[in-house]
Parts: sequence; structure tokens; C-alpha cells
Amino acid sequence: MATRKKSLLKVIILGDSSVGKTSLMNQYVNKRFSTQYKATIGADFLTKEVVVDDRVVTMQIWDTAGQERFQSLGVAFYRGADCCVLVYDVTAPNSFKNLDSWRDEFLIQAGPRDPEHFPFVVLGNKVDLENRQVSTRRAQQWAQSKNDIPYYETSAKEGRNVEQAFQTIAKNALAQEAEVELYNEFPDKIRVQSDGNRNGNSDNCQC
Amino acid sequence: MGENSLPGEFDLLVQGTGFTESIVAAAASRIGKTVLHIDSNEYYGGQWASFNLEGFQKHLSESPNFQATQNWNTDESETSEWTKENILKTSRRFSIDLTPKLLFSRGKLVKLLISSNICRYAEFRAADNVCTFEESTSSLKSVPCSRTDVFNSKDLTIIEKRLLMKLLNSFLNYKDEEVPEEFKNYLGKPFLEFLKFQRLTPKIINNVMNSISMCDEDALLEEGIEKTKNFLLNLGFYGNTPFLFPMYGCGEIPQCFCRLCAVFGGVYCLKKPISKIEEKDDEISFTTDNQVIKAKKLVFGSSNIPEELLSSEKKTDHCCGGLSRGVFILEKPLGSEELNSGGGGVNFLKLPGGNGGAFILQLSHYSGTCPKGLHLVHITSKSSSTPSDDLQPFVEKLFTDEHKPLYTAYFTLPSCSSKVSTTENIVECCGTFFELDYDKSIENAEMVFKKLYPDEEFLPRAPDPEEIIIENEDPTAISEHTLPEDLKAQLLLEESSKEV
Repeated sequence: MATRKKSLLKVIILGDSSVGKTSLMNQYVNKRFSTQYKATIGADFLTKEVVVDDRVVTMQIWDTAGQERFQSLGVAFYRGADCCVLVYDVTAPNSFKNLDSWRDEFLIQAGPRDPEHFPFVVLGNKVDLENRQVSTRRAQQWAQSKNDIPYYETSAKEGRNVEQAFQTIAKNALAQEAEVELYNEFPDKIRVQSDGNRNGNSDNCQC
Repeated sequence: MGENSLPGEFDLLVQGTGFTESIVAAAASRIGKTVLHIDSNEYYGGQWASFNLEGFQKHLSESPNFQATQNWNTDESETSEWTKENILKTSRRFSIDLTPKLLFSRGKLVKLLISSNICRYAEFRAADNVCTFEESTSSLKSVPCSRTDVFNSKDLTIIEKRLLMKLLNSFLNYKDEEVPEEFKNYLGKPFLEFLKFQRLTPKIINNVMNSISMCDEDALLEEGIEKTKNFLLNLGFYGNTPFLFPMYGCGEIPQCFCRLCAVFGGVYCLKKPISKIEEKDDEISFTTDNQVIKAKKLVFGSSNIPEELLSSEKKTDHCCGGLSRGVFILEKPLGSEELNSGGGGVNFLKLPGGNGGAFILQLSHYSGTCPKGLHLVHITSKSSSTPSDDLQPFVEKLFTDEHKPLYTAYFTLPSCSSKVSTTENIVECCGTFFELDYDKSIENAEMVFKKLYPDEEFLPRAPDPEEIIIENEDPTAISEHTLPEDLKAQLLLEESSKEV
């Protein structure tokens, strides 16, 4: 089977409710921040083209759409993830404690081929707030103990470190691919779309 | 990992995350209703769920109404690669459907996924082969579907190729307004009789009857024409067959609808039993984890009927369920090497038989539903006795000594024979039907939705993420975006209510 390099990276963001997952995503892709959620249309996934080592890849960042609130993310959400971003709120110690369970949950549900080396990134968000409760050292230690997960302290509100963090995410997701020669496990996947913008194979005429 | 208390009021409570309930939940959320979607199970999908191997075994052993039996027949010698232990080690690579399905490339579900824009959450594999069972050799053969396939086929003689092409073309060009001569005398008569009169070979008749039209023996010509035409019109979109199979199994599909519901604000709670359902003065209240919640309307799936809603009245018809299912793990796939070239893919076979015959689906690791080196075979028929008895004729045909399953499971998906009292605001969704695609279930979901919200649009297109408005933006700017009209209205309404 042909080894095809991926040009689309699926990145999923995990972490407790209201640690800033949606805001981080919006800040990174749209350079916008808001303190208020609009109930009508929530967060879904956003895409952004990034250049890593002279290669253009499309990063698709998937939000939990609120389904994490009562631990009800279905396994479909985790399918085919190339990188997992774990987010906690530096002012909420519980959200930090729960990183362990989110990481475990990901490894169980996504079932990556090489769990030891699967690319995670940890973000300690809301560093712009004054009532910080989790120290940098503590978070760094945790990240180190989990096979040296890269750790960033971010502020989605001020845009601090967000760009850098996501650049690392893209880079590590691609590096993983190079290291284990991660071929596309399912090379012939199809997405259905309206006939207007379909680029499927057309050599099969009807009888 | 999260908070514990739910909001106290919703427009709609949906209990059960099966296919049909999930569509209703998505459709309600999409038009701005507040939805609480609950399942007492810890997984999505109800009777439409997929499980890994261990989860599947556990589910069968814990479902007394499934009449389930399971049996291992592995080679336990030291040289054997696939011992029971080794297969169980790969448990997580399995995604075993309770209700396996195939989608027509332009069938109802694909069209709905596209028109609602839920297609962005789903991935598929084009079915690799539509097969037929050749009695003389007791083996599976690929049925040529497209023109190219017919001409390349090694199983047909040149004369057969011509006959088949001519026949298929005559179906494709068939119009009710001007019925061609050769059809006229057979309208209202059995399809099989018509085919026999066309002086075709038994092979072609078998291909057209069982694989292309998938008609029962007593089907009339009209049905045969319609089904053959439908098959042909679904060709040429993806791959070599008219069918798609959801990557990682059919259990993904309900979750796609649930995600849309969540994206539009729906609240999700698995592992959440509810009790004390009461309807009073046009309002429904129920209790979960000692919290009383109110909802204006309630929808529930038929496999999970709240006790309070069971009535003493007898239900008139068994509308859904009643399926006999077989699940088999094979090392050597059914069919020739050519049929499974490159490691196999998704192969489909319809076998005729009494009571509607059986749908058979063979899946390789490329479908994301089993580990590399193993193959998963699903058999589905209507239920009339125990599942193993129902499927015995098909199993005997397919699994010769060469293809002995390493693992075999039989179970029933029970029919919804319970007696349920529903009201204007409490509506039941049907379970699975004996159909290849999802047509009846989609009709059911739409019917339930229209009952609840008669004047509302059913799943209009959802905007792409790029079109989504970020919070707090100037509402006048919103109208400049390419949002669907209904959402523009919702957004503007919300803005104005805030100002008041």
C-alpha cells in the first residue's frame, strides 16, 4: 500500500469545562477573544493552514462542543486525532488535577498505535488572571513526568503564547508522522459533499 | 471533570441516543430549541451502537432480551497467530455494530448529511464489492456494477455481458409515461417471471434479482424496475459500487447528529437514568440524580421506554426491531483472493431466502472495525425464531471448513412490542428496521420532529465553522455573513431581547 503523507492534521482540545478551550482556538485561528458565549451557535472546529519545515499543512482544531461537561464525549470525537491538546486553568486546581484523567481518557478512546510517543501538548491557560493557583513548576513537573509533554502558559484573552503553542502542536504532530512513518491508516476515506464541490472519481460511468 | 448540576428547564428532553432520537435532537437544537439529550447507557447509540470486542461480549451477556449466544473456535496451538487471547488483545481495534448498514451513495441518509451539513463529521469507505453467491462453486463472486466492470468481468461470457448491458440500459431508460413493449405484458406480474422471459442466463437472473435489485422472489416487475434503477443511479459517485460504509462502523452516525445538537447548544449526559416522569398542564417534569427538571416536550427511543409511560393498552403493530443478528470473526475472508485483494475492504452480499433473506457484510481492517489480519462478518435477517436458527441456512452456505469463524455470536434485536402511552408532547421513536439503508428511520425521525414542531424546517443546512459568528460581534455585521436566513433571524432576535 502506498504511503501517503498527511496534509490534514486533526487536533483535538481536551480539558474541563470553562478552562478556555474554545477561546484558545478562536484566538489562534480568528485572533479574537470574547468573554461571552453565544448560545445559538457554539464552537465546532476551525481550520488553519500552517507552515512547518517548508510544508503547508491544514490544521483542523476540534472543540468539544460542550459534550465534555457531563463526561459525554463519544468515541467518534477522538477518531483519527493526530495531536491532543490538554488545557487547564491556572486559577482552578481541579482542572489541573483532571489532566491525568483527560490524558487517560484520550489514550483509551483514541487508541493511538504508539501511546508512549503520541504527541500531547499541555496548556496552562488564563495566566492573565491574578488569582493563580497552580504553579509553573508543578505543571512543568507533571508534563515532564508524562514523557516530556511540551508545556505552555497561555492567555487566550491577551493572545499570549497561543501562536507558539499551536506551532509546536503542528510540528509535533508532523514529527510523529516522520518518526514512526505513520502512513495514513485508512487511505481511501471519503467525505460526502454536495455534487457541486465533489472531487470524487468520475471515471465510473453509470451503466 | 466537570460540574454536576443541569439547567432546570428545557424545551425538549430526548431520552436515548439511538439513530432516530439523535436526528430529532439535532433537528430541534438546530432550530433554536434548548435540548437535553440523555442516555442511561454510558455509550452513544442504543441499539445502533458499536462496541469493541470486549464491550460487545459484555453487552451481549448483560442483555437478557437479546437471546445471545457466543462461541469461540480458535486454534490454541503454539503456532497459531490468532488464539483467543491474541484476538482479545486487539479488542480495541474492533468496532462491532449492533445494527450494521450500508448507505446508498445518494440515498436518504447521504442526502440528509449533505443538506444539513452534518457530513463534515462523518467519514466513509466506498463498498468494494457487491457480491453474489455462486451455488455451483459455493463461493462469493463480485457482481459487475459499472459498464467497465461488466466488460472486465471474467465471470461472464461475451454474450452474457451484452445481455446484461442491454437489460440494465432498458431499466435505466424506463419511463412510466411510455412503457416499452417488452415490459407491458408483465406489469403487475412477478419480476422473476419477466426476467425469465428475457431469455437471460441463470447467472444474470441471479445477479439482477439478488444482488442488484435485491428483490424477494414474489416482487412485482414495478418493484424490480424501481430497485434496479435506484441501484444504477447510485453508481459512479464513489468507488465501484453504489454503497458507502461509515468508517469505524455505523455507531458513529448517531454521534454525528449528537455533535450537531451540541454545537447548537444541546446538553449531553450519558449514564444518566431518569425517573418520575409526569405530565401536568402541558409541562413534563422528571427526576435525575435528585434534581427535578422540566421540559415542554419529551422524545424517547423504543429500546428504552420509561416505566411511567408503559400503558396497559395493547399496541397494534410491531413497527420496528425483530432482527436476528450474527457476528463472526474470520482469519481467512469469504471469497477469492481477487475479491479481497489488497487485504479486503467492504464486501456486501444479499442472500435470498424466506422472510426477506439476509444482508451480509464482510469488513476488513480498512473499514476501521477490526484489526489487520482479521475479518468481521455481519449477518442480519428478520427474526422468526432464535437468532441461530434464523441464520443457520445462511451460515451453512457461507462458512465452509476453509472459513471457520474463530468467534461466533448470535443475538436478537427485540421488536418494540411494549405498550406505550404517548401524548401530544410525548413521542416515541422507533428502533431499527430490516432495511439496508436508513430510509425508514429517517422518515420516522422527520415524522417525530413534525409532530413536535409542525411549522419548523427539518434540519436546514448548518453553517460551516468559518461562517460562525464569534460572540459579541456587532449584530448588524452578522447580516453581512452568509448565514442561513433562519439563523440570522435567531441571532438578531437574541440581540434584541438582550437589549430589552
